[in-house]
Amino acid sequence: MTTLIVLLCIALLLLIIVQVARVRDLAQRLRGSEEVEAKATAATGRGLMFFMIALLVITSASALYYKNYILGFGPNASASEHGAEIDSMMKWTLGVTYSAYILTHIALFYYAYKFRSRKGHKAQYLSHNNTVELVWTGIPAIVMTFLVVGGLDAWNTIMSDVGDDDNYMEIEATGYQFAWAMRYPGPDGLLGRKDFRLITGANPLGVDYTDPKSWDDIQINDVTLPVDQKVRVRITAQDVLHDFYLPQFRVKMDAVPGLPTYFVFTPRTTTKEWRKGLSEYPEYQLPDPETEGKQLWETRNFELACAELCGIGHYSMARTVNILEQDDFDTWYAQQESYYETSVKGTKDDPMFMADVKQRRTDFNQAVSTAMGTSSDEDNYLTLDYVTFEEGTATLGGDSEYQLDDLLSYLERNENAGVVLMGYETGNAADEAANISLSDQRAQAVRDYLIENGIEADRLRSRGYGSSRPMTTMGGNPGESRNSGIEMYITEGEIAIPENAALSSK
Amino acid sequence: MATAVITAPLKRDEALIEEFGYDDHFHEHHHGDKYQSNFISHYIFSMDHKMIAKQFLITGMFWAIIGAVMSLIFRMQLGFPEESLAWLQPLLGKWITVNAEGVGTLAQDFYYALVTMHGTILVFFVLTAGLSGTFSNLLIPLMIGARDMASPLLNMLSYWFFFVSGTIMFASLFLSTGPFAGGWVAYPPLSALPQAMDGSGAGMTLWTISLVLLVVSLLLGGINYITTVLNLRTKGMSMWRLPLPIWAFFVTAILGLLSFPVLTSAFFLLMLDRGIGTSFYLSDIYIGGAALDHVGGSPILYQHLFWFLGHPEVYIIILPAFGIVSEVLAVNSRKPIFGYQAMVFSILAIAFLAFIVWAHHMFMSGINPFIANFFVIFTLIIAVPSAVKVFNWIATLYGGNIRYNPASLFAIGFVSMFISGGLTGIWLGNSALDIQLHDTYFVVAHFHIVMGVAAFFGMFAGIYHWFPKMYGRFMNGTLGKIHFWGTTIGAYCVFWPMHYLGMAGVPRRYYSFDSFQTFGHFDGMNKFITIAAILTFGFQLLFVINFFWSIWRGKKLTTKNPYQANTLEWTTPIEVGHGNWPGKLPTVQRWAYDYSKDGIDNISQMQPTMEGETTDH
Repeated sequence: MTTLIVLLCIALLLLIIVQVARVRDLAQRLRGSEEVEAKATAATGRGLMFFMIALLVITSASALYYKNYILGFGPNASASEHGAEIDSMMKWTLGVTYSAYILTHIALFYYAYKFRSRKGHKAQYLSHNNTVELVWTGIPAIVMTFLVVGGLDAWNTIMSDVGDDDNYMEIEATGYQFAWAMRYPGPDGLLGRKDFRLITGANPLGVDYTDPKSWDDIQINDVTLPVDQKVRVRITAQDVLHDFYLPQFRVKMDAVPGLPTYFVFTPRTTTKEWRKGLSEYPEYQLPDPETEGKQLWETRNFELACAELCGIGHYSMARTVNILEQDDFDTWYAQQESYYETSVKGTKDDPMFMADVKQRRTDFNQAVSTAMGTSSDEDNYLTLDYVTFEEGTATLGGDSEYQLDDLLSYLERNENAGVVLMGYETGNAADEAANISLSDQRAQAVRDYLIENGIEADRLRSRGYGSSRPMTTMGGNPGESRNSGIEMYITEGEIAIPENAALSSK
Repeated sequence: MATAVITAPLKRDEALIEEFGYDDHFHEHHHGDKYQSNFISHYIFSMDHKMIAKQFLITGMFWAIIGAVMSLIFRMQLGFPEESLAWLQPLLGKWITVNAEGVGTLAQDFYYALVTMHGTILVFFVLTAGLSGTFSNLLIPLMIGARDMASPLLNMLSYWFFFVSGTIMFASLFLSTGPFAGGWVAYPPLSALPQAMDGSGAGMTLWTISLVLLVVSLLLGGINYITTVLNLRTKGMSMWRLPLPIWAFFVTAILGLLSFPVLTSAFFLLMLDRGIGTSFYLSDIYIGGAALDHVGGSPILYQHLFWFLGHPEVYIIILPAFGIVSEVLAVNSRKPIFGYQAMVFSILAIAFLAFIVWAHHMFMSGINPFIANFFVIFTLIIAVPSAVKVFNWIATLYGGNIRYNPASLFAIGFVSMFISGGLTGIWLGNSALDIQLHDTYFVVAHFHIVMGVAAFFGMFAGIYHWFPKMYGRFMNGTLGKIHFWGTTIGAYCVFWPMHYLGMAGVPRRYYSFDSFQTFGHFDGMNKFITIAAILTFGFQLLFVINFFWSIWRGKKLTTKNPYQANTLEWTTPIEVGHGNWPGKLPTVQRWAYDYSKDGIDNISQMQPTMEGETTDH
């Protein structure tokens, strides 16, 4: 309803304007057009002058009003070293263009007003003037030369990459839909390789962990850097274009899939110093709507944003940038844990571990074929060394499945083979019953795992021995240190709990 | 200065045509008018350049309104994110998401779709096809003394390719996944991968097809403009006697002819990447939980190809406005355009430089920073011919006897906008400053003022000025002046504050600024910009009303040459038929700008040198 009323009002307003315009034109015809036209010309001329003055005054005044929000002015001097050059370049350019803006606008509107059509006034025939034209070609050319030289000087300094003997720290930023991920090199100061094909849920950046340089790399979300330390940011993207943008540091560079880019800069203001600077300006002394009881300057942070359209979440790729004194940074840095150590090592995503698993598989298969291929009964006993259990329970440990799967796949390939699984446990010196029960449950758990994965139950038997006898593979010596775990007896055809010299009478 | 005394009175146009005109026996082989014998061949599949011009203009106006409304919708979301947009639901349907409290917000997908479509429509459909299509078609034959375009058939096809292109783009608005939303520049991988964004699916397919058809339209038009200017100039119309709009249209067409094919090739490669799994632009991409097979391509290659068109494109947009404004200022100042040759050379210089500055859009895209050096130098050199043009326009006003009418006011406004927007180009062309300003609102302010608003001002100046030639009636002057003031003040209110946003570092193409402290200071300014945009749009409606009202009800033209102009289009009858001149073709004896020479208000281009006339111009 309100919409309808608003639309009606607009339509009515337009109608009124149209009618007024018609009436004016009609009046012009009635009252003699010359007089009306002279009046209109005078009014429009005054309008042009008034507009020119208003434009110049308002644009200048509003610039002053917003000055303290504008990068390069007031509290927003660059927080990086190279940014100071940009700030000064910007002020020069502002000076030049603003003067040109003022002067040309005065000329444009003043002449448009002064030389308005009036009775008895005639235009001059001025078709060209080579001297004047040469002058106003030359002046912009000279001014441009200065700006180009200054600009390129700054540009080439800012954009030059680090040299071999530079002392710098390299970090990596990766843009993806819709966030930034940072990678720090860790104690070795070097970032490990990465490859987009290696990306998984647990390895979100696709870091290549066969590269020893990657083992101490740290992966975090926000940017933390020491002040006065040259930083080279290696900028990469995972999916589409992004742009690594640090407004307060005058840093901006596209992140391009397939083409790592970089930006080298040196922060020169800590977050603390910056806030202190902000606190002196009334614009930042207002209460912060986000944080109760604090003023804006107290909660301001340097920020990382995205400056290249990357999809519907483009506007939300915010990260905090924290600049610390060197000592504070060192403390912080020492507290960060390697991503490899905390989240990758020993998991499927760890290529080093997976290489181990592969080796173990080869060894296991080798041992089993020996067992089946020779007549010696001794060889048919094998320890499942990598089958582990959680402390004091019969729950299979995380890595057990690798060896169990090796066994499983052997049993699937050789349908005649059968296995006896034997549990051993020496944990409770005082309570042999508990040892037997736990070792029995654990052997059973292994059996269950195999059955669940499709091995017929009658090919599998299990039994727990507690500490009642030593593992056969340990040479039947009860004094051996390792005498807990699962041992298997693998054979072809009918299976039975193997009778063995070391076997207890039970 | 004007010491010469001319004794003989000026001859009337009719007499000049009769005496000096060139008889091409037009009327003799003209058995009935095959070009406009019935409704369909007159109004729809017309081959008459004047009708095609009107078709381009009105289609352009349609698109301008669509594009403007789109900008208002996303501006409302930006300026008033907390206000409900639920009332737009009947129009936008599922693109308005209404929460439990009944507050409707614009869906992010559609926000980006609107931003993208706004850019595409305004740049390609309105300011390229609409502006150039209208005035090149209308004025080239009329001003050079030709019966029509070199190929009326290609000219007709040019419009209809534009029409089909527009239809496809319009259809894409109604896709369930929405129209293309990855920005008007359509950078891959975002534009190449449907996984990256809904709009990059069917929306992007239609977008590329539509723009390829548009390129066909522009090339057909462009070849025609070039051929016509080169071959069909009437007797005496040497290149150095061409009115400036014709120079501008001519050079614009050459720019388009050389640059649009590159855009098309960029699109074809993009289509291949999208459709059959090539890797021109794609490499090392992990998206949607999968690593893609594309390896070895470079997204930057697309940017090079795109901007090889994209930069000349901004001159394709602004050069016609240069020409129109030069003409309108000269006629209404009653003075020759100051430095005619300098104006021509500056157009040529700008057009040449337009081809070697494209990478200034790409300083921060990952190109080798060394390469940027050349592009900075060439870019900032453009400031010189641009400055020359501005000074020459101001000098044209100097010493004039300026009539204030909507056309001349818009021409003056154009110069103001061109100065304000052009000067910020000096900032952005400087790669060191571009580190800070690239992809911020400063860029938005810059290009909207210098090629958006300025080109529109040129277009308005042209429409008000040549409306009588198109429809035989005047547009209402008072409404025109209201339109001028509203638009000028409104446009400055919309775009000037964006400089401050940009200088504060606020990036463009953000749906909301709430995620960042740095960009969150400007709620008030964003509201102000939105309100100003709505009001400015209101004044454009006034223009549309004035336009259509005047077609049927405007004050009738009673003389052939209402502005006492020198150019040939004003020697045609008030109701111009096909062939433009009923009898002989006018011939040309002098340049187009003998205003106030030797004390004579205006001397038609057809007027031979008179006894006692000063020869220097």
